[in-house]
Amino acid sequence: MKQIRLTLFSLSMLTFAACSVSVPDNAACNGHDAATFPEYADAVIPPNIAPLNFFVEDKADSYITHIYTSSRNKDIVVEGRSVEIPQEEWSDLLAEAKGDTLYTDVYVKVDGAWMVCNTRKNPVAEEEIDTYITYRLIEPSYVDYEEMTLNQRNLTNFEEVQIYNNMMLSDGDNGQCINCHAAQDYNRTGHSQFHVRQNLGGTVFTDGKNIKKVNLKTEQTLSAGVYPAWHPTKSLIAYSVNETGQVFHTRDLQKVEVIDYASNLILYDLTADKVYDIDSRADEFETFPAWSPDGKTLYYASAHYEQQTDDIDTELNANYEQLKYNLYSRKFDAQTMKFGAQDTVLLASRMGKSAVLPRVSPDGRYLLFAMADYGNFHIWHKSSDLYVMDLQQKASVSSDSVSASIADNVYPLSEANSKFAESYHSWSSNGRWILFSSRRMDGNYTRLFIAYFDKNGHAHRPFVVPQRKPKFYRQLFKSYNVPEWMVAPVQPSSVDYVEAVRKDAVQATYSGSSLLVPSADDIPVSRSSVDAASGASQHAGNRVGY
Amino acid sequence: MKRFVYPVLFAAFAIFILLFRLSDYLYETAAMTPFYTTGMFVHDIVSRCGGLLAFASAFLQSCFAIPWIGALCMTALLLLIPYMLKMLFPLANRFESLYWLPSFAILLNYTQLGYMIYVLKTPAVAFMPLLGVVVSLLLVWLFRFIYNLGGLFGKIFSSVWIIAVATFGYYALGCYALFALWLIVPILCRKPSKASAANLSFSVFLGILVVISFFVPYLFYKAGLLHIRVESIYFVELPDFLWTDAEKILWRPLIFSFVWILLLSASLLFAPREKHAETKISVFAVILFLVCFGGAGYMTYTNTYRDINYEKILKMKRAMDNGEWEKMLDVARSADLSSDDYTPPTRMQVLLTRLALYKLGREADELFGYPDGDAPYNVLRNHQYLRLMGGRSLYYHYGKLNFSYRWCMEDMVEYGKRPDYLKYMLRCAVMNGETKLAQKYADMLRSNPFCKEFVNRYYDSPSEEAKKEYADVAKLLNYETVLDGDGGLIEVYLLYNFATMEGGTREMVNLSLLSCLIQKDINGFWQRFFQLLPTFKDGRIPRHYQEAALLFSQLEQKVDISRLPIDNDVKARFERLIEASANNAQYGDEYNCSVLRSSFGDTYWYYYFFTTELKTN
Repeated sequence: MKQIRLTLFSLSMLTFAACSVSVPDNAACNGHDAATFPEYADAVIPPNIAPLNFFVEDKADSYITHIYTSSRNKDIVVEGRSVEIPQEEWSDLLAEAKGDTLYTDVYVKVDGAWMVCNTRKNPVAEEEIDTYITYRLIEPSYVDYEEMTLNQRNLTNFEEVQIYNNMMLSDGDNGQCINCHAAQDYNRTGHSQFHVRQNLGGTVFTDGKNIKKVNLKTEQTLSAGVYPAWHPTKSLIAYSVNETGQVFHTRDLQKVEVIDYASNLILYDLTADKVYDIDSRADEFETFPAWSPDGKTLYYASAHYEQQTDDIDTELNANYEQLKYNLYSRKFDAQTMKFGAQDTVLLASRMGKSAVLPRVSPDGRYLLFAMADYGNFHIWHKSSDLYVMDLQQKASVSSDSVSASIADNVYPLSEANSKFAESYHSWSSNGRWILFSSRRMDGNYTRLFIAYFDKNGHAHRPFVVPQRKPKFYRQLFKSYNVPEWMVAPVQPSSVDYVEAVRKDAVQATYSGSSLLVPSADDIPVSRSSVDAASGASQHAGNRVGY
Repeated sequence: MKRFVYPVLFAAFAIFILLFRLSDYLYETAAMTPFYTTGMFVHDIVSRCGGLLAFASAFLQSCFAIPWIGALCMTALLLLIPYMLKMLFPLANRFESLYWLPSFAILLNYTQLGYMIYVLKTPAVAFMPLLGVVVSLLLVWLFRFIYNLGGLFGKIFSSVWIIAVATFGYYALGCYALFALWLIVPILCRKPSKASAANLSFSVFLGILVVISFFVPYLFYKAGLLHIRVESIYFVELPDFLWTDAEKILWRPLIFSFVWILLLSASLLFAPREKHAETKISVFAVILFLVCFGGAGYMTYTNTYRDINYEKILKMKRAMDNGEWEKMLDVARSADLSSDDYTPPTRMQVLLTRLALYKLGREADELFGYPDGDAPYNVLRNHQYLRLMGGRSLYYHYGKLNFSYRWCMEDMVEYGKRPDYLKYMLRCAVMNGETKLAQKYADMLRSNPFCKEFVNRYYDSPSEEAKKEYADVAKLLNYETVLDGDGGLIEVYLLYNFATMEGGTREMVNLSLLSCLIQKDINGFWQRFFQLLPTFKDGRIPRHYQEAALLFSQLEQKVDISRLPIDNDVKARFERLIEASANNAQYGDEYNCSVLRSSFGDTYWYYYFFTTELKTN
């Protein structure tokens, strides 16, 4: 018996010795930056982010990674090429490095000698990120779709759950397209919504407990609601209604052009199931509404286009580069439920650019948007970058100016941008973090990045949302769409949603214009003018992946 | 010796069908089978209900890439079924033939499919039912072993077996775990050898457990563990054949197999416990053998999908994958136009033939000499088969990289990450200089043991053939981008695009000229012909261009071709055609079409006058 115990002890000691890893002594510095995937070096990171696991690209015989703080009170040593950092130790280390810097040394053993690469630094911010994000996972496909999911990810660890999976109600060719999960006030209220298209279609709302499905399409509006913007406090949602189509580049590597052949804005009153027009001028393509944090202003993008023929699809397919979106706003009175006149925010078209997706920071100071050379679906536009406008700083270049120069209260977030498309973005609830989608990893698949936005209005080097397995993004064949922050998780389960979606939709009723002074142009556009689809373009509803 | 008769005969039959009749079909099946070993792929597939079965089956099915390996795997598994049935549900020896019927049916389940392999979304339709049945029989064998142990261990483990199969088994194997639960019912219902109240009540307990187990899928669904339709929870991992008039026939082999195995299991209720040795071969056994093997073999053979055009398409596609362009032409030429049972080709064959001719640089001399036609695809489910089978390859080889990539992506979304799609996505990314994207696809393909060589040949260290292929495609990329769409109509798009193309490299002008000829666009022909004229090798004008020039100058009298180097034999033949036409002027086109085919069927003139109203998709 004693012998057995001794053997067991020896074995356990041997195992312990084999498992314990130490930082190599006397390793010479090779003077190189370690090539890793994903690349996290120099990114400012939140103090509550999940471990930034990575894979060392450099070839060597052995690998050891040493992560430590400036005080060196705590550290983590990981052996192997695939650096998977223990969650608990990582959290402790981050807590210690909060407001300071996290250091990472990658040691590589080549020809029997240990070398250490240049130390990588990650400043750790004081401000935390919101715990959850939601997004849609979908292949960067063109027209066809099969399985897609709306997911919720806990950013402080690697937990990911499906809010809704369309295969639970898809049947052969009778499939379901789902998109645009959006919550009110970072889901603090428990209110959120998403769209279901085709089979059992409708917009699905929850208040955290109850779920209802509403058909937002009325005779008088272009389509059901598309891009949503929850009013921060009221049960109101502004939507764009869009006639969207896809056409394909024969040679350009941007491959797809997603074009709105018409679009307007509507307001939906969730409690009364009423739909109001906000702006339905036929020669203005309004889209991407977004509320200011106080709920008193609605921002949106719009392109002016006067139809020349009775076939707008063919027209726009030929002139797609001429379609340039500007940013506008309208004041809103929640008491009367009326919008004021249109104010110009940014005439991007005067700069030869097209600005979309305006988002106001929680403190109301900055307007974040994506700007590219043309069009509105910037995830397919390599020229698309993130910009901010300082709303407190009055532009010295008048927004009415014909000057092609950019207004001086508008500037690109150069540290966050890349030569590939940056697009859909949102502010964290404390305004210090920006979540955005980018195709920088391989040019084709959209990934989510997070950048620190400091008090001076500058973005810092972003990092991709970390995953448990370092090679995750190389092996993932889906894109991330419409990422949004949340401070609380979505309450209903996917089965709850399925049961609700099975039921008939409540029909919303059209209740006229919500403009304080409706203009003569604000007459609902006739569908016949936009229904003439050309052979080339394929109308896609909103199943295209932003 | 006689115990080897059944397996040897069955194995010979299966190998004959799979390897000697359907070798190209097996190869194509592998190309349509998504199997990779990357962590995410394994996780994605295994974490779904029935995923473990799907993964293992996809591996076996991907072995079809080397047809003899795949055929042996399939035959070996098919041979296992009768042995296990015999062991589990013993009948008198004279009934042995009955055990073999499910194997024939499961073999037919695959061989009957034909074009269906392109439109089925089940990841491994050939092996999933086969492996599913084998594993469910293994599970039943395990249960019987445990159950027969008796005592406390037997009772506990029997109960655990039922719970495990209903939960983990269901999640790993889908409906085949439920099938195993069905199969143990006769074992439970069988009168125990030592009848006692305790044994009886335990059997009743297990029976109740089995009944409860059938609610597990629904509980899983309600718990959000199954991301499928509630209507599908009891059919997980069955093939996605439709229950339509056209496709009902595809269900028959599987339904027969399941019912037959259930009937065999039910025989336990009636069979005596003691096995009576039978040493002599009875007349009954011989008759039963002849009926079962003969009948099942005949049914399997005759119901195996047969279509001469499909077989040719598969041969041509396989040759194309190997760059064997001459072999593709051999297949195209194999049609005997004068034969009574001549079958016109499908557009897929016509386009593959044109591609092969283009690759060999003989398109302008021989194109109109090959069979043309628009035979319908012999299919059960309507779809754009030309696009599904050849869209990506035709677009790629003709330099329409974005459209090749697009259809790979669209089809990948719908049918999974089939290696054939990824191979073209990789090549498109390489041609486009999208290095990170190419790496992504290469990494994925490399994890499939049967695609490693391809990645090595086209990506890691491109072979001379791959370099030439890339160079050939690069010659066709000199065009401006425009927004366009093809609606899945590959041939129409290519024809129209090339026919209306202006400028570009010599190769592009040549394709444009050919497209004008095919479209009988006389103005387009002259414009491109004179553009190309100075570039003809050694000043020799390809035969079809000579024919077209003669014909069009005769028809329109607008262009003087007297100084063109037209071959004397072409001129002489053209004169003979004019003479023959004049002689037969009083007869209709149908007569002339038939009479002139033997003399002029390989000329552009014949195509121009007699090939009309082809459905080009």
